[in-house]
Amino acid sequence: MLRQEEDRRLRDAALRTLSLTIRMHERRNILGAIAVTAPAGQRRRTIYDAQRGSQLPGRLVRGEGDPPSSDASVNDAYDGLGATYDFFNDIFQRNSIDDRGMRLDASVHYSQDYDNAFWDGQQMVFGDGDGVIFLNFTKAVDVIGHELTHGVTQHTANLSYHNQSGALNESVSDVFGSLVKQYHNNQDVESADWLIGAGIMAPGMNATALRSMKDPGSAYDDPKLGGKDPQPKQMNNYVQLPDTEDGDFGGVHINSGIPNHAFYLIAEQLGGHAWERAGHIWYSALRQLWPSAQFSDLANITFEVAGTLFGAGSAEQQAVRDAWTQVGVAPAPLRRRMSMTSAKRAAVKSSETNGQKLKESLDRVSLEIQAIRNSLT
Amino acid sequence: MRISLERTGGFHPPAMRRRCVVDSQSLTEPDARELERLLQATDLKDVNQHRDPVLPMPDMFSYKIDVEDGPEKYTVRVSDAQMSEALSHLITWLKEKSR
Ligand SMILES: [Zn+2]
Repeated sequence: MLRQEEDRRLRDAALRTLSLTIRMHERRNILGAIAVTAPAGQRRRTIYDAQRGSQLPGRLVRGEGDPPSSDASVNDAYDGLGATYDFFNDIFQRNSIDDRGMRLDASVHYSQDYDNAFWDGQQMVFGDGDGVIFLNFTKAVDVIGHELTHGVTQHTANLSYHNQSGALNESVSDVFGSLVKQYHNNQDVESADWLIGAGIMAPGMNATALRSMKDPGSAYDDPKLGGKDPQPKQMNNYVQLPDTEDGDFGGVHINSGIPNHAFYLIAEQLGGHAWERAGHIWYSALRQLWPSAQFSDLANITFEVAGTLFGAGSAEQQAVRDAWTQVGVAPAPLRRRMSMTSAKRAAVKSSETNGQKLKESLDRVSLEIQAIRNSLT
Repeated sequence: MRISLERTGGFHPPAMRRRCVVDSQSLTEPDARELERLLQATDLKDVNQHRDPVLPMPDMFSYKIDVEDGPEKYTVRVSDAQMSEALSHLITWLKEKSR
């Protein structure tokens, strides 16, 4: 019975991934991307203009090294991708999203009055905003950093976009999105605004931004935004929502306030440039996390990492413990962590087996696509 | 005919949820004809059969379109990842008309 259920789930997951992969193959043909590893430190940006339509990527308008365009959105996107690339490369020696020099592609002017930006698994998409509530989404470098970090997460912890692991996925994007902005503007903990989306709010709104890491719940209070910022900053106020599209997959953009605030508290305690210590602890933890990780897993791992990087009992490790305790997710004592590690090992093992099966079916599809492509040319 | 459009998801879903309703009876003659044309171009009733299952993709919008056409009722769900040009035009038009 269980076996059958698992097989069915695995098959469904494989089918979903396959159809997405076929779509990506088609897109890659259009983009003309070739899977090669680019040398570290080499940015490869391409900006397209969707010309207010929904067909991606659109018309190529600026490639790497090309002079600025007369279109501000094109240049803002180009610069934002560059700022994000530089941040990950300079601070963590990460060579682009996949750490293999992946090209950074973005389409601007997507659809009409479109109030959003997203990463679709292989490229960034920006709307112009409606001008009443939101301005052009290329205007906020933290939003660009947030979206590209979804790509980094996809290539590392691959946090499942549901409930707590989904809120961690969102939080990781806010943390590094904010750090991209702080590094770009050379801000320290004190001078940074710790806001997400400050640059895209239209004038006249009762809103400083969409989210605040320093003070979750305080970013806005405006009927045009559905009322008041609902983010909690304490586990006691965790918002239970259904794991559906309508429920934001369990409130992943709401409960991210809790780990966001933990990061802020650590950075505030340590002072200076947030990316230097708190940022390193978070990046190192991201590479150790796994798809089903919960808040307590991030708390435990960051505590452990802080001990490894800066010493057991160091000011850094103490700051990590204090921050997580303050938001209600105190790191667990060692003995409990040991048993969690074995649970993690079991989870990784099972996802490796599934991953291997998925990879085999994907490889078969790739071959079929290649064969079709060959027969066409 | 009554069409309601509900948008969820996005970069910050709690602030981005939108709902609008368009009733063809309250539309002007040219608008009603335009709606008819947009609907035909999307092949709305068949959209669900030809699209991929919904994957939770970070920060994308999802749309739920409910159509009541006399005794006939159906619902279409689509996300940005599965958006066709025709469907995108219909969604933009519905948002504009319900303002
Ligand atoms: Zn996000």
